[in-house]
Amino acid sequence: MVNFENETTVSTPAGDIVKILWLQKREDLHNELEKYNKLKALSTEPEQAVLKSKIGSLLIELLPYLERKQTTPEQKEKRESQIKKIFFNEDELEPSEILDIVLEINKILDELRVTRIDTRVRYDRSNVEEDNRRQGYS
Amino acid sequence: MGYLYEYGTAFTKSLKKNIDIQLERVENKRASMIVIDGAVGTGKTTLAVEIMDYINSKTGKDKVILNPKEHPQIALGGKEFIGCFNKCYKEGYKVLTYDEGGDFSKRGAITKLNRTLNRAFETYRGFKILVIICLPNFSILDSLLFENEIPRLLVHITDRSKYQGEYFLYSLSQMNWLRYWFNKLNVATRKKAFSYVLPNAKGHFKNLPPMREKELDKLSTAGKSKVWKETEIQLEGLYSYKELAKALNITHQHVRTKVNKLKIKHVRMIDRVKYFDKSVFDKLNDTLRKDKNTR
Repeated sequence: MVNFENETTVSTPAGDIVKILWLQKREDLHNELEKYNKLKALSTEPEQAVLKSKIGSLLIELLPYLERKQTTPEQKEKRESQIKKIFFNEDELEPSEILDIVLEINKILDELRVTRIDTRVRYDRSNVEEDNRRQGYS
Repeated sequence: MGYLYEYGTAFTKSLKKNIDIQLERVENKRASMIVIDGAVGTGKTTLAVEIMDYINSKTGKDKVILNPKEHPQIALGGKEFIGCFNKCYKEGYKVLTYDEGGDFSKRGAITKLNRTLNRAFETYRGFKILVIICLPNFSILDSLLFENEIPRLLVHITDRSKYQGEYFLYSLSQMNWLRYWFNKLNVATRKKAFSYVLPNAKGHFKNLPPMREKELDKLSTAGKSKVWKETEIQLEGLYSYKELAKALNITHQHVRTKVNKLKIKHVRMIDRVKYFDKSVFDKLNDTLRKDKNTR
C-alpha cells in the first residue's frame, strides 16, 4: 500500500498494516479490561458494553482464522454462544468467560506471530554438528 | 588421578561430547577431520595425544605409542602420513594425528599437505579413521577441503599455563566465518578474526603426566631434528651427490666417478649421505669444462 500523503513510493505490505491494526485493538482491549477489573475490585458492578464491543471488534478480525482452526462441533458451538453473548447482548459475560476469551485471543495472536517476540531458534550450539546442520552443512 | 577430570578425560566435557559426535560420524563413513591450531608451545600435540588416548580407551586399545622409532598414530610430517594411515587401518586404530613437526619450514610443504589430505580423504574414507591435524594456523588449509566439508571441528588453543591449557571450539560454519575475516583483515590485525566470530564452546585441558610428557618431547624432537639437520646442511652450503648432479647438469653416476677419480673426501656424513663443500662443486665444474675443451 503506497502512502501518498508521505510522498513516498515505497509501499508497506498489507500484512504489516493488518498486524499493526490488530495490535492497536489488542492494546485498547487490555486497557478496557484493566478498567473493568478495577471497578470490579471496588465492588461496583461495571458496565460490560464497551468491553464487549472491544472484544467483538478483535474477534471479527480473527473469525476466519477461528473458523479454519476450530472445526469440531463443540468448538463451533462454544464460539457461536460467545458471539451471541458479545454481539446480541443476550447475556452478561461471566468474569471467567471474559478471561477465557481474552486469553484465547492472545493465544491466537501469538500463533499468528503477531505478538510473538521470542522467534530466535534455540539449539545446543556447543554441539558443533548441530550448528553445522543449522547453518546448512551436511 | 590428578591428570584427568572426574569424568575420565584430560579435557573438559565440551570437547568430549564433540569427539563422540565425530566418532559417530566417522563410523557412518563420513569424512571428518579435527583441526587443532595454536601458537608454538601451546600444547597442540599434547591435546592431540590426550584425544587419541580417550578414543583408544573407548575402542579397547592401549594408550598412544610415543616411541620415536614406532609411532603408528602420529605422523610427523607429510611423508609419514599415508604410511601411518595404512598402519592404523591394519592395526584397527580409529584415530590418527598429523603433526606438522617443523614441516612448514620446508618450501612447498603446505601444497604437499593439502594434496595429501585431499587424496587421503578421497581414497581412505571407508577406513573409518578420524584424522586430527595440528597446525599453527588453520587458514593455510586448502579451500577445497572446506568445500568438501571435511574439517568439522576447530580446536583453537589460546593459552597454556604450567598445569593446563585453554581452548575454544568452532564448527565448520564458524571456521568459514573465521576464514572470511582472515581474508578481509590485514596481516597485522588478522588475529582479531577470533574476536569477531563467536566460538561454539570453550574448555580446558590438563597436561600429560610427566613420564608421558617426556616421551612426547623425545618424539617431537626426533621429528624436528631431521628437519634441523637439513636446515644445518642448507646453511653450511653443503652438497650431496644428488645436488651436485643437479647443479652440474650431469648424471648422479658421473659425479661419483669424477669424485672418486679426483680422490675428493666428503666433509660430513649425515644419515649415510655424504656431503661436500662448495669448493668441490667449483673443482668439478672446472674439470668438466676442461674435459669439454680437450674434446
